[in-house]
Amino acid sequence: MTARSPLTRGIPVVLLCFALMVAAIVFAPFIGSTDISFGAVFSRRIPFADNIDAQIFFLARLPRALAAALVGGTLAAAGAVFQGLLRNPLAEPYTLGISAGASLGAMVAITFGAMLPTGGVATAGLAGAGLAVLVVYALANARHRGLSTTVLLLSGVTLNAFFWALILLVQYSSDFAETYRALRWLMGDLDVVGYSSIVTALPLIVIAFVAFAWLARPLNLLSLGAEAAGARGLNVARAQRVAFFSGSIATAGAVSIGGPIGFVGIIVPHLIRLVVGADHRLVLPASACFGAAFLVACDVVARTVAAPLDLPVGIITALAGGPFFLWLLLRRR
Amino acid sequence: MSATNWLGRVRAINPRRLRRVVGLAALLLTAMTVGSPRTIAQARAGEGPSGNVDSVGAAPRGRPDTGARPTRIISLVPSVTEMIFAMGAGPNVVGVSSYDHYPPEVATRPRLGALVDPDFERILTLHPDLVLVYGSQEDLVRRLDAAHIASFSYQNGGLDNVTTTIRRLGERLRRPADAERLAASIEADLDRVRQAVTGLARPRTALIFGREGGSLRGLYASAGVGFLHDLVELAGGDDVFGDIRRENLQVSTEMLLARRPDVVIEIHASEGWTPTRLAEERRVWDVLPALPAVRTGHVYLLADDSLSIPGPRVAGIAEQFARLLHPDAFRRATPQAH
Amino acid sequence: MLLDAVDLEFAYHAGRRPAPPLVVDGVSLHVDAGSIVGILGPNGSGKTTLLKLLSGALRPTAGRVLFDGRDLTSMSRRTLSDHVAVVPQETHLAFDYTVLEIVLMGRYSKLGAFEIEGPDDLASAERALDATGSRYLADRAFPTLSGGEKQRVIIASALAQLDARGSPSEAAREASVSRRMASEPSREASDQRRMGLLVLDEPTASLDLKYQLEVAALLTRLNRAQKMTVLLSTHDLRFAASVCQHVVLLSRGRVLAHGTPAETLTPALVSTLYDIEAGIVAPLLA
Repeated sequence: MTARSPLTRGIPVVLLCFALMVAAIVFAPFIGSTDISFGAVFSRRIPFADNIDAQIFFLARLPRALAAALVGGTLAAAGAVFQGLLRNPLAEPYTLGISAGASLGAMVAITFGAMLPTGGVATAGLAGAGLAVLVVYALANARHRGLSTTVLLLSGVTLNAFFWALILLVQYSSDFAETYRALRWLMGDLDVVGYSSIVTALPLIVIAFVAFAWLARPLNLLSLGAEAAGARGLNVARAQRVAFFSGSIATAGAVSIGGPIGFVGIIVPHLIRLVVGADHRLVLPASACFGAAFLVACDVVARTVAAPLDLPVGIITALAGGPFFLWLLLRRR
Repeated sequence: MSATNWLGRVRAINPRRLRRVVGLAALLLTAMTVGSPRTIAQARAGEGPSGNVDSVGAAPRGRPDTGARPTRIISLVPSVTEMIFAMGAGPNVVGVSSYDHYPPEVATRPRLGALVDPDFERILTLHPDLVLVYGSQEDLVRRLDAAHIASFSYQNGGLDNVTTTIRRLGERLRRPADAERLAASIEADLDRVRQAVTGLARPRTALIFGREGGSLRGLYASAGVGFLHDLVELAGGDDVFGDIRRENLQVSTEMLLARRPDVVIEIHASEGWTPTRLAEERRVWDVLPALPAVRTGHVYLLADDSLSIPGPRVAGIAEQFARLLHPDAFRRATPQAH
Repeated sequence: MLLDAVDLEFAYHAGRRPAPPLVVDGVSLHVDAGSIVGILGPNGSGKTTLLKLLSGALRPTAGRVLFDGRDLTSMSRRTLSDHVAVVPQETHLAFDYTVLEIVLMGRYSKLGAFEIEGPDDLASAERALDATGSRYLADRAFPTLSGGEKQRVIIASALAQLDARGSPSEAAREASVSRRMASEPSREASDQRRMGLLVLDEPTASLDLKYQLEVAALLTRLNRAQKMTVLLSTHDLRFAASVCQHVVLLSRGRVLAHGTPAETLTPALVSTLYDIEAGIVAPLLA
């Protein structure tokens, strides 16, 4: 046995994931469906307002890469938090109905947007997510001193179904064109056009990540079970509450940027665990970085593979990530 | 707001797009909820024949054609409803689709559903002698056949299809002269617009018909197939997405920037689009200052229900587009218009 | 006396109308430092609830529990966890932690929120692994262990939790205490603080005979070699008789009898406890 914490063995992997993320963000804007002149992009002689190449680079591709990184990293880390909180490897950021709530908000905004004051689909999504979070929390808190993970799961699943019914109702009563746009929103889209939606969601995500950093050790203890964790000196109720709310606002922020992009939040943490083990102090940062790199890469594929058409990135994450994960799983066992 | 009002807002855009949308919707919802391959296959089958742009399926079916003028007509297709009224058969219309808003008389007719939800029982109780349906409503046609009710399938297509359909419809309604007059006047109006812009520089034009409110996300544009594309070209514009052989496509920011449109025309339904809101949404485009259309101030938002209907009012749409694309030409050539 | 429980009462959902039944009803008992005390009773007698009261996981509805003279409810979670460690009946992990990671989790309350285990914590984990004879398991994934191995690892984690030696935060706390109360004999105080209580809920319930004997031997060894105080619940007469120095018979939330195994594990008392005939009990005790 070494005199160093077993944690140190995983640090190179975290650093590698971080390097992958940085590389993905740096290289992604250089790839796209249009040929642009990179000389012109970085030229100071052409005013930005007249420089189409620079605008494609800085207003179309770079914000997309940043949005993908932010959304991918957030969903992957939130997925790890929810799996730890619920002690359930099948949990993901969308298990507790947050994405369904956000989707409902977005559907309402898309369908009745013409009648609402200009608030934007993202804001409506955040509002819907907030509603879902409060309902689930109230339910899970109603009869227990701490959060009951069973009640959390059950109320989340029920709320998902309930919100989906409402979503279908909204869809049924909407225009075909709106229905199509609404469905398209559900497939996930990272073409954020500029930085405003990133800036809006960033504070939520930053707060959540501060909480995630604090949560790493409590989540390890929670894996032992609530009572055993409490006996080791953890304030279980507080840790669960922090995990629930930080995971929820992170998810809401990510969904408000890119729609309910699937797969990243459930698979990336598992993939990382296969490599670094179960310690959340490694799983959380590695998942965040790898999730970011993964979604940036998926988005590059989504916007180039069928160019000039954009494929929905949610389709790519599952099509590309699914077989890869299964291969890794089978190879390891 | 009641559910019927919601439904009432819904407008038929364009049957071929509808079919694709509905097929996609059914596919997606199926995949999300049940995932039964059988249901998906059915949804696929419901898409019907993939329309060749120029095809006109004016096939009378059901009861053998007696040669008599139909007197109790039901139309489930808004553009066809307009055609029927425009050729003078309006009084014979006893039922319309849920999406019909024009001419104003349709408000007095019962609404009988549309593409996905035709109310077969209510159709029967109105004792129609001709029902106008979408080409993809094969199920409905079969049931009408079984009830010995004649039907007429409408196939969507390009701009030419409008007058072709009017002529075919005129024969079926036993009003060939009325139909010919209508078709000829539409063609003449279109020609006038065409001539007004002949020889002028053709600005690169993007025709947008949908996006998220308050942002440029989720942009949908008309591409190289369909009557809207034909109208842009006729009105003296060069459709920047014209090379893509689709009726519509989602446009990424990169693609929009790369195609450099000189003019952007956004079309919307009239409901909810107040002048204030139009002005607000117009400003959303300022996030892309390098887009030639934005830089030169040629971004136009139109809120007009007629814009999405390939019916007798297409020449009016052509003129609206042409006036935006070539304002000078109209100032000189046709002082009468307003 | 390390642990002293006085007139404990407990009801789940206390305060509701009608008043819910008492699960623990007027229990008083004490645990001497360095002893092994067993709470024996049939299923549903309130053993697990009583254990939770005695380890501070539940607050009594009435009565109190004193640890080394201090009321458990007045102690912070952190202080409590320095003194009382709990080994649950079974441990199912959501994820594949290694044995060493599990044992190091015992050091949770000794570290700051963002602190990483240092050499002292690793030394403590090593001692705990050695004490339970599971050092060779250190790098194994916990879910791959047998039932008996898992039990040993969880006991090791509890030992690491109770191990105050070399814990930097503990040393710092002691230093600050001795600085503030320079006049008091701080040596003795720190000896008091080091005394831990290992609480085990049905440690052998899910184990076969071989592992039962192994756990019994381990607890006896810990008690003799490290003067570890052990409080356990069991429904296994022979396990109680072979391991415990003091036995409390618990029946429907009340203490039926307590004393040495010889005093309490008599056919008469045991047949009353389990509500069966004495003739059947006698051979079980043999």
